[in-house]
Amino acid sequence: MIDNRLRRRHPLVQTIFDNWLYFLVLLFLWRFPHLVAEWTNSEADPARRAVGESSFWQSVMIDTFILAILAMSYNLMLGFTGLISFGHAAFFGAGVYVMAILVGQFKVSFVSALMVALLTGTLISLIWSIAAFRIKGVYFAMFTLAFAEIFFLMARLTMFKHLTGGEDGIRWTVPDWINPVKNRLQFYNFALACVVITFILVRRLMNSPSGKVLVAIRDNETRARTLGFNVFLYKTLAIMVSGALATLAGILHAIDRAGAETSVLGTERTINPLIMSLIGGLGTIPGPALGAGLIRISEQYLRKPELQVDLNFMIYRYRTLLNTESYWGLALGAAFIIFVLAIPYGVVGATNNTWLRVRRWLRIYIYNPVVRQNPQLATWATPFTGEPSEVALALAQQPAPMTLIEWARRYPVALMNAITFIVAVGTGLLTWDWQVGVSWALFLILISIPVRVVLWLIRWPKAIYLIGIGLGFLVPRLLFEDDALFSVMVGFMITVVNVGVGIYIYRWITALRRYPLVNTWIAKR
Amino acid sequence: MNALNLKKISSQTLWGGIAVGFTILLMIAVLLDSQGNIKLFSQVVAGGLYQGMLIFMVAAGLSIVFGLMDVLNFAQGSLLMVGAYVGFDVLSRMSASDKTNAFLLTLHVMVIGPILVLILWELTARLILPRVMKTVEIEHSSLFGKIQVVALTGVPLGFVVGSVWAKDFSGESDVVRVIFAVVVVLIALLSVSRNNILFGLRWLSNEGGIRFRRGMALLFNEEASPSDHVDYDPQFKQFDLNKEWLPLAFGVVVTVLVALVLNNTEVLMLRFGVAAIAAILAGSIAGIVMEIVFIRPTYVRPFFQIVLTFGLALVIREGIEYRYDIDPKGTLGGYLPEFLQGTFPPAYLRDLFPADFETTILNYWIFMIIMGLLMMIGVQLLLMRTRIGIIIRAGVQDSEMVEALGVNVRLVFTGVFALGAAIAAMGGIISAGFLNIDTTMGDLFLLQAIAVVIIGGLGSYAGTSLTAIVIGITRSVAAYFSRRQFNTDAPAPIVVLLLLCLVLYVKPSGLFGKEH
Repeated sequence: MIDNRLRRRHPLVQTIFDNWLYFLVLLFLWRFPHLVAEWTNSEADPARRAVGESSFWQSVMIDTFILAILAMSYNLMLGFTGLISFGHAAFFGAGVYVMAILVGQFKVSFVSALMVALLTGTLISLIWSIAAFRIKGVYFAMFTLAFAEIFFLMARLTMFKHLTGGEDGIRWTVPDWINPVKNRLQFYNFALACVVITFILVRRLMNSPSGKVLVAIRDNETRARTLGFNVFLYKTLAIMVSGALATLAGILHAIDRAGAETSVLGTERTINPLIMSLIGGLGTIPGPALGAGLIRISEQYLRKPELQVDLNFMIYRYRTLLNTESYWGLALGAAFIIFVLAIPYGVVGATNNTWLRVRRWLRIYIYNPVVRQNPQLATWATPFTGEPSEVALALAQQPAPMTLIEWARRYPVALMNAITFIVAVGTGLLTWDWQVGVSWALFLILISIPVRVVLWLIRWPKAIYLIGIGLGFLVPRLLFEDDALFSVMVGFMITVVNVGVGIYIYRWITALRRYPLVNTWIAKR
Repeated sequence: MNALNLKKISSQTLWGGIAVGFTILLMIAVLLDSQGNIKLFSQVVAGGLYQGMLIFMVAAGLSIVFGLMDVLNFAQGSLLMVGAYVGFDVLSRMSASDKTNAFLLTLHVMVIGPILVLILWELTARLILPRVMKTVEIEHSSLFGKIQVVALTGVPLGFVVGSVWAKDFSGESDVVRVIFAVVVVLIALLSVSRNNILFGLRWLSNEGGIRFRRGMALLFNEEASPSDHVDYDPQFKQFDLNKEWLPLAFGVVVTVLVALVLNNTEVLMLRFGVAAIAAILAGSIAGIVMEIVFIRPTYVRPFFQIVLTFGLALVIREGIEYRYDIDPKGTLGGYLPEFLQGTFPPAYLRDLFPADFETTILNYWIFMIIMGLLMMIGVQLLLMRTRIGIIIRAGVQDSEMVEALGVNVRLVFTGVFALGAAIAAMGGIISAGFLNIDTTMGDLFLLQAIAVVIIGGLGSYAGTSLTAIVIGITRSVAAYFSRRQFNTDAPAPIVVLLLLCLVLYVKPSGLFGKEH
């Protein structure tokens, strides 16, 4: 029997087989307005009814698509070519403003304005490429930052008010066939098509030889030049494609908002794609789009002036209202910093790593058609039929697996995770209510955060003193706000006690260094 | 070798000359355009100078930190914002009540009084007395002995005096407190003095001095002197009341006189000073935390380091927005003492000028310029004249070599980062006296500072100082012309940014920087 995987298929079918996940996502996104309409009993096409759940979610998704295009274009420069751009807002804003000015002020036709906007973005990227020829690294970052800021300041000038509208911005009328108010479904599909085209373009570019050279430039520019590649030319390619795509995102934004305002040139238009591509995965193809979707949709759910939080513990229900509006920016920034420090290649990069290992293992040991058809090659799979192979010998030489107690002592955080998981699933099964299980998991994760933080900090004992001092400042501030002197005294006492405890813990740890198990654990941290 | 050196110097002199000449040309253009209107001209120049000084406050940290550890801190502008907001917070919390006045005055007498006494004592003993009484051999104790005396006597005295003085505001006074103060001071003086009659507290001065010096040696990686290993240091001169009553009394009397002259009109100044100290502390703590927690793990990943500092700027801004909400807070102008308000000349100098003399220069501009110049000179002296400065300059050239010589480079990195952050925070509180406090003030200053640092040459402190003034005046002149032409001064920062892009294109190493 010939293995299914060895059969030759039609290329189109093969493409679908290879990218089944992407096709599934595309199918879902294409049907998304109709699905929402089904679920919520609303109309997908607002031509029939203008407001409704479906058209609302369409506008959210359109915003997500625009951000996804912007993030993918950003990633092309930062993640693939290693050019740090802090001025992507210049492209985005150029797209928005050129469209709005040409159609709104000079009554140019929509399609020619679109062409001119794309050309403008390319022209700006040409200027950037010439800069990238001479200016490297952090200097290039500063150049882009200053460049975008010039545009931002110019858009606010009163002397160009007849052109840019100054602080007020411009309004313009979008043609009917793409108008997000009159024909939202059409615009949704248009934006989706733009995302797909961008995705295919970036993927094709990065899988081509030129893309490999871009990655080589990112990894070591001198080496790429020594190998004989024209680094300037390849950087120009990356910047131009990136700039054109960012301009496309700007054009879509201009259509979506039917106007231009100065905030499209501000720093947040650079920060947003940076955060999205970092959280999704720098230097990966689907990462930025995934990051854009994650952030935009979680923002839709979580960023509210009064977010209702329900926590169920078996029979007790805790309900509260949180103002997450003011937390949002801070949380995003904190997530950004945590990702840079701990998960620098984002969600996709991190899962890719694990997934690659699993797939490698599956490919070698399970899916391998040659091994399947020749079982004698894999004696480890059939240990009683032949001589043990190298793999089997290597496996046999592995030390015996750890006992559960050893494992728990060595990886306390993993133990905590396991307990959380077991309790969550267990209570969920017992009560047959997934909400209860999830609430328990959330609760356990929440209360384990201080433990995790302390475990992380123990690698650096001085931090314990700092915590002590911090508590000394914080606790009395919260308890005795009125009495300054008393709170200072209490704070001093808390500080002293905490630092004392810190010294004690530090000595305890240093004493424990003698024991090998704890020693390896401390060294790992 | 010699010729090369000469060429280098001449290139720097050439660029410096060009920069200064450019500034002078700009000023002449203003003079010609305003048809010799000196009032307008002086306003433009002073405006340029104060802007240059504010930009310098951000640029100094950027320049030193980049020179030493190759980190371009995009969050430097946010540190300025932190300084402004903390200053605003402290000032708005210190409401003008008796309680606050009591606190401030006590703080003043406890902290500033003893420091003033110490400085005066040292000056009298070292400079004035030897010149006045040439025939008599003057003996005075070492600095540590003086610090001990002042701390042990001045702080309790200050506490009591301050609280009594503060009580005067509400019409009360307390004789018992004064008696208590006198007794405390007598006990303290007698116990510290060499010829003490109360306790044998010799360790307080001698052994303490040795420990102090050992600690300093450890801190600054100096070699311990041989005398540190003995229990008694003959070099260390203890305080002796019999021999030193004159300079000590002189210091105390002058301090009391100063306090009486300033009296309670200085409360505003005190408040501003307290706010400034709080802002500087907050800035340097933020700098230390940033360096240790965020920058240090990413020295091995410079690419992510740049991205990280950019994200830190966002986090700081969002944190400030969360803490103080997004509305602009206005200026701190209302909290300023009287002599910093109004236009030059201030009221107390009015008599020195002709009766019809008046300018459009604000007193606060002059204050900002003086503070900036002090900062410039202070950092220059720190870099050129101290041991720490030698280490920093050596680290700029080759930090690995410095580490190999036994210097704790990590500590120096943190310290320099904190220094830069403190200067930026001080710029924040100073600029807040004049400019609106809002969450975007950091970004604007950051870009101007980046322009200054790039044009001056990254890593060159002198270049940064000179360029800050040049850029400030350029900005001011650009604002002048655009105000004449377009009736708005908004295009002024654009001119600076265009200049930055131009210099990056033409000479990325800057005017005074080394080629990279």
